[in-house]
Order: sequence, then C-alpha cells, then structure tokens
Amino acid sequence: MRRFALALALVAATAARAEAPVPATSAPAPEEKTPQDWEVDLFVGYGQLAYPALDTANLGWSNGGAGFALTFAYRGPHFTHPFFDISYVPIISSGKTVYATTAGGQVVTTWASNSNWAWGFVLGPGWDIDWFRFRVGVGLYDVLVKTTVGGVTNTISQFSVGFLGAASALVWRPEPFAVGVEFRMVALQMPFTGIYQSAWEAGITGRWDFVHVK
Amino acid sequence: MNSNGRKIALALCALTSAACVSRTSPTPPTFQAGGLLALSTPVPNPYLLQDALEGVYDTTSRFGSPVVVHASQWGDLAGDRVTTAGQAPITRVNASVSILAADHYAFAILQAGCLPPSASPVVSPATTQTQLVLEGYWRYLDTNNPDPTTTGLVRLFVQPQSVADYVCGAPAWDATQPIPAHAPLNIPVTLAGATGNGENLPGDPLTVTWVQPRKSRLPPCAQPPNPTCSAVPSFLVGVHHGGCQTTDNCGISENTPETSILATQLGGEYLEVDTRLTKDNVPVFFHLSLNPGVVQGVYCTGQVEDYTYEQLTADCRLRNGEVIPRVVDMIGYILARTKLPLYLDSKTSSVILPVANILAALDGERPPNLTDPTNDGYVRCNPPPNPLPTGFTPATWPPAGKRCLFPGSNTVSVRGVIGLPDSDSVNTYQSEQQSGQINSTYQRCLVEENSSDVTSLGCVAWMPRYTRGPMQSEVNSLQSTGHFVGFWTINDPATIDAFLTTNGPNQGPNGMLTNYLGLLNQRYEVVGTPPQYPPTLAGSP
Repeated sequence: MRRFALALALVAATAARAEAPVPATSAPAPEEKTPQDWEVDLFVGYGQLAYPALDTANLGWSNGGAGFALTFAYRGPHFTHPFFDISYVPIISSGKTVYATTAGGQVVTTWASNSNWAWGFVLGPGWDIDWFRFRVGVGLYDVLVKTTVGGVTNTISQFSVGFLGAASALVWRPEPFAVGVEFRMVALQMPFTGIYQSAWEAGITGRWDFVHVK
Repeated sequence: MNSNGRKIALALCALTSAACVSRTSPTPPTFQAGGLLALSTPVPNPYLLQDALEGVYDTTSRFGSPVVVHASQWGDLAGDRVTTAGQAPITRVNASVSILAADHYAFAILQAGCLPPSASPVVSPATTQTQLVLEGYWRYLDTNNPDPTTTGLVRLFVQPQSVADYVCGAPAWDATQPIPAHAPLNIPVTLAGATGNGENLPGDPLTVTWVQPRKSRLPPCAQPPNPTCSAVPSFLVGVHHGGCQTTDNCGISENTPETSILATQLGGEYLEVDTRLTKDNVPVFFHLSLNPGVVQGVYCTGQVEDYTYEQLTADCRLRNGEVIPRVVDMIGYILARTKLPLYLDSKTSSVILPVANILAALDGERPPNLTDPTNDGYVRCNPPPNPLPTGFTPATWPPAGKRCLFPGSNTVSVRGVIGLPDSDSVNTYQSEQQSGQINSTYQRCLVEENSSDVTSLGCVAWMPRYTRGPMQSEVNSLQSTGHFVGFWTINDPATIDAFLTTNGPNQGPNGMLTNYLGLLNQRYEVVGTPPQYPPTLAGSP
C-alpha cells in the first residue's frame, strides 16, 4: 500500500507542478497559442501473464497471445492529457494434465486447457515528454476464463477493477501521424482485495491527430 | 529524461507492483525434529487431560489474564473404515490442550506427551520422573499476517508431579472401551515453561496458574444436579466457517474438513459451514465468490455455480492448497473425527434438497439404511444406541458395512442441521417438506430471519443477525419451547459481553457464531451465565 500511495503522490505532484503559475517576467513574451489535438491511437502487440508466476513445471504448454488497444486522447495546453482506452488483454492460455475429482468423487487424470483474457475500459491522464509518452489509468475490466476439462467447455465472466500503465517511444513522427513502440502493464484487482493478477504487453503503436487546432 | 519524466516512470513501476495479493498462506511454526514430543509417548487416555487441566488460569506473559485452558479430543483416519458385524474399527482419539485468551485474541494449541526420565538430559532441570509436557504454537489473531512478533512456539511442563502422574500413569484407553465420565481433579495446576518468537526455541518465561474451574454450561435448574432437569449444555460457542478465517492465515482454509479439528481445539461447539451447488449439481462447501483472497489458481475466478466440480478441482485450490470439498466427503470426515453439530448454511436455495439427501444417506441408523447392506452410513459405535434398534444385540452391533461416528457423538440426523438464511430458502424448504422430498422426522433446520418460521417449519433453531439487537421476548419465547437461539456473527469483545449480559443473568442466547473462538470462550468465563432453557435434542442447534 505504501508503494501505491507513493505512486499516487508522484502523479499528483507532477500534475500540481504543471499547474504552477509561471513567474512574471519583466518583458512579456510574444503571444504563442498552444496547439490542441484530438488523437486516436492503435496498439497491437503480444502480451501475457506477469503475476502470479505460472507453475510451468506442471503445465504441458503455456503462452500469452495477441493484444490490441484503441485509445482516444485530447492534448491541450496542459502538461497532462486525458485519454480513454479500450483494450483486449491476452493474459494466458495453457494446457496441463490435472488430477481432477469428478462429481461422483473419483479422482481422475485428465487434460485441462484454459485461457484467460480481459476487455478493458480505462480512463486516465497521460504525459508527452519529447518523443516519449506515459499513461496511467484506472477502469473496469471484464475478465473471462475459458476452461475445458474432460471435454466440457465453460466460459466465465467477472468484472474487476484494473490499472493500466503504458510507456511509449514514438520514434517516427510524420505529422499528423506518429509510430513507435509501446509497453503496457495491466493489473487487476477485485473489491476488498489487493492486485491478484497482472499482465504485460509489448508491441507497436500508431497515433493519428485527427483534429488539429492551431 | 527530465525530472517529471523520472517521477512518472517511478510512479508507473510502483503502480504495477503495488498491493499484490499473496496466493498462499504461511504455516504455523513447528519445533525442529518434533521437539520434546518426539521423545515422548502419547498420553494413554486422552480424556484425562480434560479432567486434569481444564480451568480458568492467570498467565505471567503473552496471553494476559484470565485465560481458559481447554482440552479437546479429535479423531483420525480410522473413522473412514467400515465395520464388520459386531466389531468397530478402532478409532484413535487424539487430545489437544489450548490456551484461549482475550488479549490480542490470542490462542495456543498444544499437544501433550509423557516425557520419560531417559529424556531428562535434554530437559532443564533434569528429573527422574516422567513429565507431562505440552508443546505447540501460539498466535495473536488480531493481526492477520503472522510474523515472529505475533506467532511462535510454546513449551510447558505440567506441575505438580501428581497431575503428571495421574495423566501419564493411567491405563491405556482405546475406542472399544467406554468413554470415561468427566471427573475434574480440581487440583491447582501450574503450567511452567516459555514461549518464543517465530521458529526460535521458547525463551521467554511463561507461567500459567490455575485460578478456578470453568463455568458450567448447564441451565440453572441443573445446578445442583436435578434429575428432572436436562443436563444438556445451554450455551455453545459457534464456529463461523471454521476455527479461523482464511484471511487470518492460520494454515488451514475456512470451510474445509481440517478446520473442524482446529475448531474443536479452539473450543468450538457447533460448526457453521456454507453449502453451494456446482453447475453439475454437486454440493460443495464454499462461502462467497472465488476471490483471490481465499483461492489460488490463475483460472479460478467467478462463482462456484459457474463450474462443474471437475473444473473446480482442475482450476482451483483454496488458499492453503486444499481442494474445495464436496459436502458428502467433508461431512463424513467431520462425523468420524469430531462431535461437532453442523449448521449447513444454504447459500443458494437449490442446494437444500441435495444436502438433505446426503444427510439422509449418511445416517446409517435411519430406516431403511440400518438394514440396507449397500448403505455405508454412520452409526453410533461408542457408546452404542440405548436401547439398540430392534433385531440387534451387543454381539451384532454395529451392523456390517457401516462406519462409526466419533466416540460420544450423536446421530447424523441430530448433528446435521440445514440453515435457511432467507425467505427464498424458507419457501424452498417448505415446499420440499410438503412434497415429501424432505422428511421432517429426521431432517432438522435452522432459520435466520423470521422467528415465526422456526415453529411453522418445525425447525430446531433460530439464528438471527446480531445487528437486529437482543430481541429478548422472541428469544425467550423460542427458548421456552426448547428451541436453540443463537446470533451471528459477533467478533467484538464489547458486543459479545453485551449479548451475554444485557438482559441479566440466565437470559442470554444459547450460542453465538464468532471468528474468534478463544475470545468467546474467555468472555463466557468472565461474564457469561448459562441460559435458563436448554435446547432440546442434545444441545445442538
């Protein structure tokens, strides 16, 4: 919790610093209007479970999967910019031999395959620093688990609170577009518990400033 | 990167690693190489510890004063074996001694051993006599993440020597012999030794000194013994989900078979456990949702009702590694290893009939199971029913193919009570009664909401939420007709005291559910009085 509080404090401090009044100067600077942009971003990449660590010793196979995100953001005169992010987060797919108990109480050795993914809807602030972009957000994630054991498949949906952290390097910026690489972390939390699961994603991101006001 | 950028990067790192839930729980500390118990022999008669040691004591450190010293008995795997005609498998009865305190909601669970003189070189001071040694661990339950400041080892020696001789010099007892009648020695006992922190050997001196015997739980009319008055205890300590909540990290998850042993050791006298139904209609024990605070497994999320039982066992483990238990397995375990009555709280109305059917099948004494050779239900072996059912003699009891209830236990029908927490479950139970699916002669029920439903359904108990207040007139009205009345779930010492005393002596409820069994035991000894009306049917809810 202390680390969580520190994180929030740092974000708040950064925002507060950005809002600090500019000291008066003796000679007024020439008036320069800050451009305002509405942007849409697309992220495509690979992602998988980060925490808890998988018990790979007992898994037949495991992997993550392809993830993507669509983000809308507004960049104005303020140092921070708000964004809204819709994402598909691949968490884990795996298969293993399990000792399961049937409804009748018999312990059987059987094959189980599972996959775990989430749809996220996240709001938060972001910061553009030169050609780097950082975003943190909080939102709602619909976490889905698909399980097949003994030939029977079942899919379960459960909502969780989720936290998003993203860092991008926009290395190629032909206006009004920009293209770069992005690393994302998603942490899922249920009410009254700590973070129970997190996933990382890495891939490419593209930005399009579809409205640009000078 | 400028200063702001560095702060943001740091913030991102902190956010992604903050407040992660640990999916596994620590285990209680243990003595290396088994401690002195490894050099000792088990006490020959587990019931004698109760006579010799139970009482109210003062302590010099760690636990505050007063504390309750509680002795318990619990069984082992032999209860799972079936009988042959006229012969019961020998169940080993184990004994524990516990210290139950109010300070820090502390407890200690100790096992007893008779330490022969040959082991004296390792004991300080050396002795030429057999010593009664108690070893185990202590725990403060007011913090749910145990560390060396809140848990550790305990080693105590029983004094005077005459008490050690009484316990260690007794003839051996096994479950084929009658259960000894409880006969307190009332000798002022001192438990002298030390406690430690974490896995460190005990080094902090502790003396536990006998002050007085435990209070009676018999109704006032039974004190002094009155042949016209029931000798059934009228106040019972109720166990909420188990001896310890999963989130309290006691090493055992709630709603598991093993928690019934822990509950017995901590002075619990009836066990509330939660029943649910899987997608393929298997009744299981589980409380709420598959929350990471109580289960482990990347794919374990949602509700029990979303999974088939096979999927549950493939994907989910409880916090301490246990499988989510089937009702039939766990009830069998508890019937064979403890005397606890079971309050089976129906979390969905659909689970009521399947659980009633399981109880019916597990009761080996219930017709037609008694004469059905294919039924392997549980019967009373020690003591046997009195009188024996028609057609049986002492030479043919127990019948072949049955399993034995724990010594001293009541029948399955008396012990297994279905809890009805809301109007939906009350309506379901009523309709199953009317359709004949539930046999009211054998199946017992408990109502949580309206007291009027207790009498209309023929239930044996009322267990309202304590926040509704003492409700004295309703409580006394039901108690006077032989019903058990308890409250759920009280964990705060002041509120426990209020419910034990507000309406005056002998006017309280017959029981309370709590997460802190030691605390409730201790508070009863300090402020409690037995309710004037004992519940019918052997004092169980």
